Order: sequence, then structure tokens, then C-alpha cells
Amino acid sequence: MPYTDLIPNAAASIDPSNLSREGNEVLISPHAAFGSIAKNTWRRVGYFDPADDISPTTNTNTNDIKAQNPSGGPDILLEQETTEATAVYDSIAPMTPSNDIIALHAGAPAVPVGADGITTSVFTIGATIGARMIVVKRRLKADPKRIQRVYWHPNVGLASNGTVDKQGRKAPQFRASVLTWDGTLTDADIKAAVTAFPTMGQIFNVPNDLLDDFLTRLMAEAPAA
Amino acid sequence: MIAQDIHDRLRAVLPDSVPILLPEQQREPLEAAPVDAQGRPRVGGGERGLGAYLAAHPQGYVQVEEPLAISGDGLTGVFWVAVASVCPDGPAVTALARQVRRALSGTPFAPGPHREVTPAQPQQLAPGAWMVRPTYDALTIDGDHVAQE
Repeated sequence: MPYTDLIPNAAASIDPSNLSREGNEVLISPHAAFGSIAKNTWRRVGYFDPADDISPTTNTNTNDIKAQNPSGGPDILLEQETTEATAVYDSIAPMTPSNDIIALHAGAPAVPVGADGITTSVFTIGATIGARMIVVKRRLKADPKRIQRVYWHPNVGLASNGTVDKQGRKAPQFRASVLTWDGTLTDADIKAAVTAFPTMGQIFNVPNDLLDDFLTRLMAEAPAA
Repeated sequence: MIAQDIHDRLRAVLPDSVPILLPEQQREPLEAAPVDAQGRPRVGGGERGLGAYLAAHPQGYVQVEEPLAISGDGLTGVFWVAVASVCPDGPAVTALARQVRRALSGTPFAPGPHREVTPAQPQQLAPGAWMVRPTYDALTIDGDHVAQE
């Protein structure tokens, strides 16, 4: 019997159609009203450079718990305890940001100066905007049951991270620190599936033909009070 | 086969009135001619070649060209395929090329299997014939074309 008979994904693991391009779509909903962005409404960030991957950079700090070796010699490592775990989306740099997204990049909401349309916002350093964030990773496939991934973070700290050069033009860059959220979900199906609280977010695997409906349900979850 | 896969992908979205020609059919538009009762090119039948072909197919046509081998690393093969859209006028060829682009390359949020490696703008081939000819990439893994389904 060939050894591949013991491997359920022997054929699927070398299927050429598994190699596919992936698109990134990022949706943001600030917890508090921000300029022209009303509370709990969503904005789409824009097109990204095809070379960019909107993925979190994770960092963990561990603490070694050691015990003395009863027969002498080096200490026994019992466990590596994770003391700190952070996830940050370091570079969200839309090439086609709308005015709303550029306003978020300023860091603070703009208030009118007089009535002529001039507005001003505070020059802040280190300020973050609390928001919900959804990252949709899509691969174009005809198969309606093709799984697309959706990253959902009910609480991120959105901060400006300068600008980057894209084909000689400047694109604003955001930094989103993933924070935890400890609230109550409303959708019955999602609520039954999400059991670990406080949560930094969830990764959903959604069949292609259900993606639109699912995103509509997800965008209604965890609104700011 | 890369050209056949690209042809099938386009055939699924383009209307039937738009011919999609494979590399081996490249001479068809050039040899187009009005035919007589026996099916032979008619003497005195008028214009032949590209003009006659576009007159017979006013919604334009798409020519998938021979894939050009670019590089390989032992597992992955990279090919570049030019896909030319030809229509009788500029606005029509822009619209047809956009449909071709969507079918092969998808959208920025949902990319397709073929990345556009050389962009193109409409150019006039001859009076009454406009062409957009971008180049797309096609990958093979272990010799099999990566055509997502």
C-alpha cells in the first residue's frame, strides 16, 4: 500500500488551483462619531498596493518556568508561560483614500472654523481612535462554496503611521493595534460560536455565496454603546 | 493549456457575438472575405481582411496570443499572454477590454488568476479598427496551469 493512502489530502495538497492571488478589503467603524463619520457607521479604507498584505504582526513575550533538576545538571524547563501577546496591523496604507479616511488619518475630529467650510483638528501625537475593523481576504473563484476569510476585530486602536510612497504618490498609512473586547453579541449563530471572552477578534471562513449576507450581519455586531 | 483556459474563462462571460480567437486562429481576421454561393471568397465582394471581419462582428473580437515563457524555478513556470481586444471604435474597445480584464484579473478586492503585467490603452490599428492589447501573466505549477475554479 503506498504511504499516500494514509494521507487524506494527498491529492488536494498538490492541486495547482490552490495557488491564487488574494485581495484585501478593510472596513472601519469608529466607536465615537468622528467628523462626518456618524457613530457605528462603516467606511471602506480603499485599494491597497498588490504587494501589501493586510495581516497582523504578532508578538509574544514568554516567561520560562523552571524547576531544579533533582539529579543535578541544568534546570528543567517545565513550561513557557505567555505573559504578553500583542497583535498590530502595522501598515494599512490605502492608495485611494476618500476624504473620510484622510480625516481619520489626522487623528482627531475636525471642528469648523467659522462657517465658510474651513475646519481644524488638533495636532496630536500618539492618539488612537477606537474602532471596529473587518478585513476581508478574497480570492476570485467561480466556485460559490470557495471559502473566503474574514478577520473581525471589535476593538482596535487606529493610529496614524505617517505616509508611504506609492508610485511617486503619497498614501496615508495607518497602524491598528488589536485590543480586546468584552461585550455581548446579538446574532444568535455568531454568539453560539464565539465563547472565549474577552476576545481580540475572530477569523471567519465564509463560503463565497454567503459572503455578502454574512458581512451585513457582522457589521451589526459589537456596536459602541 | 494556458491559451485554452484563458479562452474558456472569457467565453463564460463575453457575449456569443464576440469571437474569442486562439493563437492558432490569428490569421482568421486577416483572411476574412465575403464569400460567394460556393463558399469561396467572392470576386468583387468588397473589402477583405480586418475591415470585413469587423463588419461581420461589429461587437469586436478578442485574440488570445501565444503564451510567452518568461521564467521557471523548477516548480513554478511564469508565462506572459497578450490578450488583444479589437473593436470598430474606441469606446467599444475600452468597454470590451474592461470585461476581459474583469474576467482574467478580477477586481482589486477579489483578484483573479491573471495579473496584468503590461497595461494598455486603446490605439487605432487602422481607420475603423481599435485595439487594446495588455499582457497578463499565467502560472504553471509542475507543468499544470494554475486556473482557479
